[in-house]
Amino acid sequence: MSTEALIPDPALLSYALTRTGATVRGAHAINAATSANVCALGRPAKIAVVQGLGGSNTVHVGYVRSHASIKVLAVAWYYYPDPDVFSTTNRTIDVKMTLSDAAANTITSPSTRIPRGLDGTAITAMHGYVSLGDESFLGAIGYFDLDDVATVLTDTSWDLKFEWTRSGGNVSLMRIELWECPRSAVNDADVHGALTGPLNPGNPILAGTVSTRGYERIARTIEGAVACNRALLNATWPADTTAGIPRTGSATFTAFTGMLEGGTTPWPWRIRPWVVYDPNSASGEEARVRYFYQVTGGGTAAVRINTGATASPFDTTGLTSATWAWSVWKTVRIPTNGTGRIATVTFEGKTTAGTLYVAGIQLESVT
Amino acid sequence: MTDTIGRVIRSVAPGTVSTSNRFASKRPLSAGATQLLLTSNLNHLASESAYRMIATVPGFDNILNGPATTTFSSPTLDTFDWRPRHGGITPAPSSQCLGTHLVYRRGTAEPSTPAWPKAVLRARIETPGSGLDYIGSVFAVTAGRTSTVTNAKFTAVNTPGTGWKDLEITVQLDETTCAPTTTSPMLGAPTSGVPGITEPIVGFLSTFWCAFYSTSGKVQAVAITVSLEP
Repeated sequence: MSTEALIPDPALLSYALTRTGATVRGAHAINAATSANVCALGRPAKIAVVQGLGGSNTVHVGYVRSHASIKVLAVAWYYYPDPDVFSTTNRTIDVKMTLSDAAANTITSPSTRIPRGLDGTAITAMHGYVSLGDESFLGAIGYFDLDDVATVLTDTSWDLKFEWTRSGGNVSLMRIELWECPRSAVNDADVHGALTGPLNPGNPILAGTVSTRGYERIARTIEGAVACNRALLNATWPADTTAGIPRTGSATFTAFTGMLEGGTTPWPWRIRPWVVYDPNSASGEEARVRYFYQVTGGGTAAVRINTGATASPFDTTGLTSATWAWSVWKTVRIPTNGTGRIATVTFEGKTTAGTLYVAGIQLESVT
Repeated sequence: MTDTIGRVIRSVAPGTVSTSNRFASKRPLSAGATQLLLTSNLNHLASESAYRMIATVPGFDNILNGPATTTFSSPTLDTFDWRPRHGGITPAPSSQCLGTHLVYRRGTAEPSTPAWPKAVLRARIETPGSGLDYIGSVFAVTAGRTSTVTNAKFTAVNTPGTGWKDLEITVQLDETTCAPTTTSPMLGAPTSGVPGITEPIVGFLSTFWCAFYSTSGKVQAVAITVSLEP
């Protein structure tokens, strides 16, 4: 195993150096490796932000690791103290995480894999009289070893459950955020990452293999860059059917109550897809979506996403879980020919009986 | 150089034993087409990698709070109430921190394009019933991991009229909104000893915020999305 530091910015690759008849030099390979490393290792793009909550509640966030060479996931939560500056009552707060995957493997708190502060460890909140009124405080920040977690959660589709609890008063959860961390080192023992040292002048320029130095390794690293696809929409609501979350009891596709403008017009979510293979395309780039849902009354439900792509809409059907669960993934396409490359997606639902509730939508590109 | 093709050119998977694999062992490593393909793909990915969605939240379907100041024709940060929405305050303020995120610089040099992306907030807003009233909106960015919007770079607008409208607010990121940061993360929570330390996380951090008010009656700001764009 050999490592070197990751250069954080891509090299400028000039077409003038690549024209037919030009000598292929070491600098070509070094610059290509540098850029490939940055794109594959230095800029992961899976994120989620959970909006503030008041009283104790639970939210679920969907997460899929970009690829095996992304090693760390950062999770942080923040809170507001009780605004009552005259209150001297100590309030305790905590966030407890449970990780699970689509194969029902689970990591529960406390666990050596779940950092302190995300495992239900209670902390005493700051009092309102030390706050500026609009000042928030960090509850905890923790870093997950994704290789270690993946030894338990063997399916790639994960559920991150957050249980927020407060002892009383008006201390409130301000937000939860999570994002994959960029690498700062290139390691030839990883799946992706091309060392530049062996490509220096004086060394032979090789094809190599996908696991050793050379152009095959650079090409394998570029695959990692493509795999760093985007979280396009990761919206969450409290997993609580009494909380006014998106819901419908309609037998035909209609906008969700709690996610409509009025009448039957659903909220338009405007997102910017990334382009890998299909620029300016009405048929669009490939993506996938799943929903965190529950159906009461024994009904069979379905959720429809309208993306505006040629093949839109896309329906996820056969939803029957009477307890909170993630649906299966549905392959969709997001158009890339919108003004400013902005695509608008809307959601509708239906059920044969009872009520369909949705507490999470995870839409991500898959190229 | 310019990302002229705008997409990744497909090729056979690396490691494939095939005459179609340009980089396979014993194949001639030529300039021209092979290097052009590599250069084009990497220029495109280097450009794309600076941009992504960073927050998508449901927003506020019941905004009743007014401006925090008596004058609001040209709203500033102080015009908005940044206190907690769930803090028992009546009417509840309508502000939300949209997270602290890493910001990456654009990978290719183009004369008219800044190295830093711009942050764009989009939402669907319901304006007041009267054309003489407004829904005020602000999108703010602070450098680093911050606890308030003090010293934020921001864009604020008043939107009049009736009915539902699209909202789009932009803040151009620059060196004043992106703080260089190095963090040494500790992993997990072992039952004894100290957690293991992994590679440092090096990058530029910014914290993103939004807030709203109504000058008359209930309004809404929903389906809030934030993206980093060229």
